[in-house]
Amino acid sequence: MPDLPPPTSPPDEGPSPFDPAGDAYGRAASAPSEAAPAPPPRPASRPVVKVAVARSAGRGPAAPAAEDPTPRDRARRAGAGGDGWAGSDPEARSGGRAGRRAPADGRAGLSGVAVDDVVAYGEPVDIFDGRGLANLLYFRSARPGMMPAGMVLAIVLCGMLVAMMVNADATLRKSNSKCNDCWRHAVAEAVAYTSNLIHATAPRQALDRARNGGKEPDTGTGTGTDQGLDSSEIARQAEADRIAAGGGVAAGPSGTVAVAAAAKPAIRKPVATAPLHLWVGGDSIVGAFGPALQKVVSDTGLFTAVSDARPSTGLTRRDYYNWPKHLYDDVVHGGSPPDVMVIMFGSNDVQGMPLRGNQGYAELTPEWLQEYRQRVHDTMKSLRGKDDDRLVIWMGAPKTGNARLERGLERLNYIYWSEAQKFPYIVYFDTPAFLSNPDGSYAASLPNADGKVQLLRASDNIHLNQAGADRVAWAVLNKLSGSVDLSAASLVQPPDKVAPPTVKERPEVPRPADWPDSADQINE
Amino acid sequence: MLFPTIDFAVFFLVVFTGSWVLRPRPRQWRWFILLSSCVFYLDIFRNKDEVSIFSVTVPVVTALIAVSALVSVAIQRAVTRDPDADATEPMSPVALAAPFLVFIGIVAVTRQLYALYPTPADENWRNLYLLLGVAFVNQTFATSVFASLGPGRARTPASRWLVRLAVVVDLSFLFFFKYWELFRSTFNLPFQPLNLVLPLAISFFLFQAISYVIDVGRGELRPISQLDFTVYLTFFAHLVAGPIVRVSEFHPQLSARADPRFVQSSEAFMLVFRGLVKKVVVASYLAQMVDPVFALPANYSGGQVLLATYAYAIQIYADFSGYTDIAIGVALLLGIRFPQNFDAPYSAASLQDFWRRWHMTLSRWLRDYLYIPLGGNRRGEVRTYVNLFLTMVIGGFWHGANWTFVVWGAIHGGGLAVERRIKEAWARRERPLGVPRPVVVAIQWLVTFHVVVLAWVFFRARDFANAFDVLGRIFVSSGAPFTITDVSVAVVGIAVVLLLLSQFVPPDVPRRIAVLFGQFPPLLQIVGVAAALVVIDAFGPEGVAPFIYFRF
Repeated sequence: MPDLPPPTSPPDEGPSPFDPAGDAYGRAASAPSEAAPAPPPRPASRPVVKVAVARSAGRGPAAPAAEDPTPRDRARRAGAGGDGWAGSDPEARSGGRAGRRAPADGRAGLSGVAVDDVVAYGEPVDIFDGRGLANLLYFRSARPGMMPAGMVLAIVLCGMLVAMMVNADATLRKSNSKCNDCWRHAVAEAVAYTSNLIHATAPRQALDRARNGGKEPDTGTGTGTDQGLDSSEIARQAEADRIAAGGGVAAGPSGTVAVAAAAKPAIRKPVATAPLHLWVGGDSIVGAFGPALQKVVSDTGLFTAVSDARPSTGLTRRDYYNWPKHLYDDVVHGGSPPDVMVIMFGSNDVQGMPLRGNQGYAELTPEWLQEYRQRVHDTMKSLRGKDDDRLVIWMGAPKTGNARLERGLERLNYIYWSEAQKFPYIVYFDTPAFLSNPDGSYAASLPNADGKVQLLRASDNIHLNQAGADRVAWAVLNKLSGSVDLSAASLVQPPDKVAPPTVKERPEVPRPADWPDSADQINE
Repeated sequence: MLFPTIDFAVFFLVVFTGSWVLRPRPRQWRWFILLSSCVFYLDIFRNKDEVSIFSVTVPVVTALIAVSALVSVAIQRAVTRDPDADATEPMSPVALAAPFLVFIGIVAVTRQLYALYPTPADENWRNLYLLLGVAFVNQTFATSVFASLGPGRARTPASRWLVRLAVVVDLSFLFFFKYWELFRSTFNLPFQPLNLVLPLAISFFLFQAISYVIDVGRGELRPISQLDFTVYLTFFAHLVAGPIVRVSEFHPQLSARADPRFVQSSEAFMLVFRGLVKKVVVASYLAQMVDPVFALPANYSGGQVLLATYAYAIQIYADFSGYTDIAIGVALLLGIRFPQNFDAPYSAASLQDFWRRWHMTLSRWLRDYLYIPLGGNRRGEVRTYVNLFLTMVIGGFWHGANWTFVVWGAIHGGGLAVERRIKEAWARRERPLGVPRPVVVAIQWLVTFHVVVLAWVFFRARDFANAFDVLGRIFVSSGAPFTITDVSVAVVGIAVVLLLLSQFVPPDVPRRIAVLFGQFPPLLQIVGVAAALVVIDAFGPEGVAPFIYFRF
């Protein structure tokens, strides 16, 4: 048995860096022989500390007394209802209760010192309190509201495991990174598979059904696999609907002919009494840009405008949000079909593309690019106005301060641009030109027409801030004035909000150097 | 890492087990907690993009570390005295240089990890360097301040100036990262924007560091060790969003070994699940109405905009108090008790009462380190009002680099001053008006709540024009309103009313329920925990984490 330390505090060495001096039980850990940790070297606390140490001398392992044979037994006895641990008193342990300002250092540490004293550091502690997992059924805590750490661990761990199984389908639905981040998704898939084997997801499905008024959830019906309505089906249906409605004079029987026959859209001249209806939508970048465009066009008095930003969406993950369906069912055929649509995707789309039957394409492979082009093509096709009376501005994705994403966005913008050339009513807008340095590289801040440099991006270097959104919105309004007669309003460009006149769209989006030819094919 | 994520659940299970296993070994336990906090801060399991870890942050932090170490050496050479002891004890220069060397080691290791770890390092690495640098700089200041105190811990001119210097250094970090862009753009300074990403949690850890140095300078606290201070400053449960814990509250709990047989699990479960419901279910749901309305108020009717402003008041309460509930519960499971941060703030019948109940640790901080140094209420009536006003305006500015936050603070500061004036006049009145007390209280509550809601409009709005658009729309609504598609207005209304009513439930009720739950056999508790997790997940919005933020 080790000797007891002297019941006085060691000489004060002052706080030495990276050494828990002051409470000095680093010493106790490195040298278990020193059973009692030294108290905080504060004169005011010393007398009390002496008492604590003295108590330790009477009860600690260093001085086995008749009534306390071993620390282990003592712990058992305490667990069975005894009150051996000073620190386990809830009042003593609540170092700083609400609103009450705890007394400064030494005095506040009193309860701590007492606890430290009772059991020497280095003594093994059974966090299950010697009971183990067998007591899961009939364990009752000796003190209301408190449990041994091991029991808490068992409850939390088991509770989480059960919840993981029950939530497995929903988690897989949310796990959005199929190929970027394979291990995460693989885990979610494995859990969902196991869970479905034992029908553990039934309660969650019942809950979801009850929440949705008896219907299956609208979005995310696929569990990471694509079960949404195909964009090609929507495009075909759109064409059939349009012809059935008597639209499109020269519409032929096949899609190719119909597209070729589509005329340059004839948008009527808006006046204040008969404004055009503009719809702007897309991913979370539209969250700032959409309202900015709404304001800019509404201020002309020639437009009514709605903004429809759906964060975390795009064309890749139809299982998460089916944009082609939403555009066709709710926008084009909604309560107020828009005369002008402004649409922006891409920033979420550079990721693996799930397909039906647990298949998928890894991002930016030739198959992926071809399928993405197909979806863009079909979506563009389905937006054609009944009498070619709708203009669609398809926005390129802005540059980001992120090399990997950037590689993908260059390819997506090429797809948008080259597909837009096939449809007279689709106008590609070169967003990157307005948000990049003159050499085309990413810029978070640029000078506006008044020469003052403005920060244009949110702190993530992806989203637009208000200034960036205004700058792009004004550019889009200018673009609109090329296709729609806006002479009924005076468009005064505020120089502190618009890009300098030297900033111009690129005439064409260059074809990436390693572009696979197979990614140019389209199935009509 | 954010609390309501699967990542954090896994992280916490590991930390919980490790913490209780290592608790008997104080030094290992401290390093374990420090390491866990660093992992939490780095969030290394997230897929992120490669950013150079060597940016403007690194030289600035390194320079400050070097300078503060030198200052510390110089001071302690000059006044090597312990104010608690009679004799003087020289400090070893080696001991002073050691942390600096350790720091260089950390940078080297970071570089190595950067090369080895498959997930590339990102800005969080250099932010972690900032966090650890702040811990070191403030520790050296605290020890220097302490060494320069007079006998009996009396303040000396040297200690006062050192405290001021430390506060200036800390605030300069805050200014550099948080406010520089606002000042640059507001005053049109001829500098290029720096495009800094605000380091996660910077205002929280700087406030805690400042309170440490000031407490030492006031002689209320003896400096704790570098390791303890770093553990305190980085402790993951309060790192990201508070509560603002003090060294005097935290440090004794590091020294006191919590009893592994009596984890206060019932209260902790109650706090965590209450927090999850508020944060994941209520706040997310209300956001779906609040966001579109504040984005373009002109599209909605006056009634809808009014409901959205109420909904925002509830949303921010649910969001913030939910997050701190989780933080307090998580810390409690590790055997560490944090101070309470919210106490039914919307039940307040006066602004003063509101600030005793809303973000209590911040208002306490503002009181002790801003209001009282300004003179508090001891420098005459006028000065008291000015101090109240200034405190709240500065407190508002702390919330974000936008002038709208200043207006938010000004509304509260002005409101507090006016309220104080009225109360004094009321107390001096000759005879009672004869209005029954409950009616008076109800009117006070109504006025207080609406002043708070009005201030929240400025807090939420992106700029003044937006705030006035929202307020104007409430009173003057013209044109056909748009329908709100994603949420049911009725459900939002019910949620607002329910959350307001919950403010009047005595705090004893949830505590009793928690204790009752704790008396269940563990198996039933497992079922309860699982059911709560399933229901919260089901009623939370699908895809709560936006892809864009999730991926970077």
